[in-house]
Amino acid sequence: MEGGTAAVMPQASAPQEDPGRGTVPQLQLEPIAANDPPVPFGESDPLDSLESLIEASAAGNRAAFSALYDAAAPQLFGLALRILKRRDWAEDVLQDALISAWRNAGEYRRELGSGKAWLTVILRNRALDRLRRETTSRLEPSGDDMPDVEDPSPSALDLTISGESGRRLMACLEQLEEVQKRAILMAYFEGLTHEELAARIASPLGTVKSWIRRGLQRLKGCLES
Amino acid sequence: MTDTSNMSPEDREARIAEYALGTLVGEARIALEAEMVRDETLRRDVAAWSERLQPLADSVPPVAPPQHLRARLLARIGEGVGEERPFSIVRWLAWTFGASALAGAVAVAAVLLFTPQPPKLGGYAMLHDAAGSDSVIVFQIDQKRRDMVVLAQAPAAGADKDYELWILPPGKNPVSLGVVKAGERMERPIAPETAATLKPDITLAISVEPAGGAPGGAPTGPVLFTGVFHLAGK
Repeated sequence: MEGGTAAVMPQASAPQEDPGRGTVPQLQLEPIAANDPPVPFGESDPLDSLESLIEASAAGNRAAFSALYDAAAPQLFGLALRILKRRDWAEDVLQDALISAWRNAGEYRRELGSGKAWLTVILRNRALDRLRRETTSRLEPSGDDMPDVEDPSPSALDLTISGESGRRLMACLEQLEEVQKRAILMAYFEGLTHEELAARIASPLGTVKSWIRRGLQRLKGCLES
Repeated sequence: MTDTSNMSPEDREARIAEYALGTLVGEARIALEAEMVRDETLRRDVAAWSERLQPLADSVPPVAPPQHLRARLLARIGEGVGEERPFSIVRWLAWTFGASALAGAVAVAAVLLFTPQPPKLGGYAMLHDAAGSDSVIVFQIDQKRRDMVVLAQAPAAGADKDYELWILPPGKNPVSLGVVKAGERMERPIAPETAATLKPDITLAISVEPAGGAPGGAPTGPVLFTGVFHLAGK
């Protein structure tokens, strides 16, 4: 790179391995640690970086993609584990989702949303598909299907969400009836369908549907107020 | 299936929110994804809901994936997975909803209807049933004829049954393109000799076969869907 303002992604300047990787980066992009800069995306706004990395990946820049992996994979893997509760499934889903992101990076448009949300939607769609395929293909879980990850659902309802948008969402979730909030969070984090929620909460299907529906409606109203 | 455009604003909003939450399943999900292909406002509204719920995803503690996964993924990228990006079809949709297939299927349909030549698309066929139902099987091949994508917007083939896709070269035996799962997006390499048989106006067909595909390499079951192969842009 020449000069100090390296805004342009270099082609394949990054090492394939990154021995300096010790910490778990958040999706909330801290630029990659200074001793391990797969892609110098300069001192640009960190929130802008994931979008830039997706766009550079779209141009075929593998270094950008490996930086994207380092920035996003831990958060996505955490979410996959949360939804699927099995490491092997979560690993498959993460891999599929990121390959999909690489292949389809050219379809990403900033104006339709943040890079983080883009990746999350890819991951969640894959995870929910996997979950539903597994649950329909085996009705009775065998001993092998015991979750690898302890089900955190009870405590997970006590969410800690950081950031301004997170605080707003939290505040609005708190305004819902407890059962509405619970149903929404279980649907989001466990990929439960209306039917599964009804069974889990032991309430009629119609009631659960209307909790979710009214809950989401109030949530939006609150977020936009 | 009702379009959201025919719904009350409340019903439409509920449908979109449930989709983003993940509780919309089956036909309703399929219909919404199909509609998203042609309705940009709907796409934006869905994206807005995804963004609203994003803090939930952010609240999950990150977990470092195993190192081998990173190495394997980067190696696959290095091998040129997706290098050609042959099926870059619809903005914002293909990546997300490819997995759930039907959006993809209709996405292809929409693009083919409105775009003279989608990028790098080599050829395609749309297979319909004789009853004229909404079901459609979309077949695509890239310009270099290396990979094919099949999207099946159709009811399941039945218990212990699979759909199998065939090329029907005139005067010759059918050539199998493999088993196709209803509601799934299938993407796989295509053998050069098989790809070579894909001439314009050749017929493709889907038959119902025992699970796993026709045992003898030739179709045994009823043909449900047929369509004609076209070169892209023709």
